[in-house]
Amino acid sequence: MIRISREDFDLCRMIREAKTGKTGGFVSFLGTVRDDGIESMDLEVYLEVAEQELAAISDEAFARFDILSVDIVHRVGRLKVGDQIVGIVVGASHRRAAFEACEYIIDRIKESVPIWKQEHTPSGSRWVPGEH
Amino acid sequence: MKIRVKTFARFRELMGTKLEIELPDGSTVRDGVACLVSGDPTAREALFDEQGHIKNHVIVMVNRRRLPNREREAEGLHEGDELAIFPPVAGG
Repeated sequence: MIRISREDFDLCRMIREAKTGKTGGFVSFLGTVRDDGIESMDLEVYLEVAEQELAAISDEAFARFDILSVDIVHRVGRLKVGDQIVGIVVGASHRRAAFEACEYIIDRIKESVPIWKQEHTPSGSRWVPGEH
Repeated sequence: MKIRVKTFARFRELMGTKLEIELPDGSTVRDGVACLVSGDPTAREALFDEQGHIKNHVIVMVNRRRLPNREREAEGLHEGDELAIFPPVAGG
């Protein structure tokens, strides 16, 4: 399951639903809103491209690593400190491939999925600089 | 010809969103971006360098396909194309 969502998600449920008899382990990544002196943040998305890019990243992970499942949820909209931003669950027969694929996926998301963060602080708002 | 334009994040604040621009037939991506910032020095400075080229970190997509930096300025635009312009992404 690959999706962009305004709603929160349950990482444990993502793992439960990805389980198969062949899976030997899961590696998950959970990104949350860090308190950098902010009150909240807005995540803006180029929806059509973000969905297509997440699917492409999942395809790349399957091509590069010996894995069995990839599930990604990325939230958009208004979030506050501590809220969940992104959840990734990778299932594989063996742990090394799952670790490597999960790291690959979050690195690729940060570099190419068109989502931007605007942080709101008591003294004003600022866009988080992207990676380039 | 009419071109649909999408801008995001800081560029949306500068140029607005869901724009439509009218360009002469045969126009390029560079013409399209220049048209968007014409008459707005702040927007022009955000998108173009001192030599008049689109800044390297500005991302340009046509019909949801990212254009390589080297070729994008000369890429031709066509009636109904979707031109998207945005700063580097920061998701995850």
